[in-house]
Amino acid sequence: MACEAYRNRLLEYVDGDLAGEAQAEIEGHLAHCSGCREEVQALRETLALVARMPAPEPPETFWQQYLRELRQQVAPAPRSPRLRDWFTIPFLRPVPALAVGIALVFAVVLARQYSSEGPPLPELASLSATQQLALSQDLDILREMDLLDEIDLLEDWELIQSRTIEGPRKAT
Amino acid sequence: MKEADRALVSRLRQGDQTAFDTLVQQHQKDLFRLAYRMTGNAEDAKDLSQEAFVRAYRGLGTFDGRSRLSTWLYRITVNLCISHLRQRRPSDGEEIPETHADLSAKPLDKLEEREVYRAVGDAVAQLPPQQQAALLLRVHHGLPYREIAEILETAEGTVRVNYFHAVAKLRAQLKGLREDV
Repeated sequence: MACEAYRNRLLEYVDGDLAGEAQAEIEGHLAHCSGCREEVQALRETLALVARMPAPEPPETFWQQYLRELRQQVAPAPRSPRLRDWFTIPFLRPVPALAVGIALVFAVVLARQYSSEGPPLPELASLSATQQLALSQDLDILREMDLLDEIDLLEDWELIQSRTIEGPRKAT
Repeated sequence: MKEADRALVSRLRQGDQTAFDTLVQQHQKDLFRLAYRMTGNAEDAKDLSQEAFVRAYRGLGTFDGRSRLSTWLYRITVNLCISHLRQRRPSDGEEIPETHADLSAKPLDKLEEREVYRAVGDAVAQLPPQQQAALLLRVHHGLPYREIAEILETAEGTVRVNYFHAVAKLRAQLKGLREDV
């Protein structure tokens, strides 16, 4: 086998990753190939240089400070009191949720009732004839725009208009 | 995950402060040295290794326990170092500062040993980050390819290739230094 085929495996050999037959095969080749032996030597020296790369050996005080800083970094930040906290009694925590629920139900019921009845109409008697006429004209415009066709208020308005034109009916 | 790791993680998740101290004390030197060898700067190494512990602590929820705790910590540290190196390294076209990696052409017998290792450090620093990490984790931390692959989140074959190329480059670059030490 040519040297090139062995060269790619010399690093594994130097690292001690080869065993058994593979290792024996490389060693057999190295026994009679000076070029590959030199390569093995070069790889060993290179790895030795890397392995001896120094790193600082900090004193114990460095590590104590290191840990202190880390503790501060992971410590939970002190929580500023929130508005909610002022109104929260720990053993009553379920109560606010219940109160909100009841309030919501109440609001929905009121809203439905209000929307089915519509806003209260002004008392006709309290409006002057001029005001009633102006109101009539405004609603005529809206009617022409087909905006209020479906609104029950219009039915009320027919009554208002007839009263404005005919004058208040006398009670019989 | 080892039983000791499992117990430590469990204590950490319960907010046990002494468990955090234990985690740091068990791994601080390895992470610091790895960060130092990758960045070549002690201050950066301190900051990056500390940041790795903080991220590990805050990310305990994402640790699935399939790898060893040390593997996970190495992974966080390497990722931080690689990110740091990419920010720090000059972009294309920018002048590369002179290093001692080219000293193989000079009369090496007069170099002090300290300068030799500085040259080695510079040569390692010029490797692509993935090659650098593979080399350092293999040579300095004695990790098997399988674990390095887990740390670098890549295939074992890729780690072998990166390691091979790293050694080949250093072998050529440090040719003059090898006989000097």
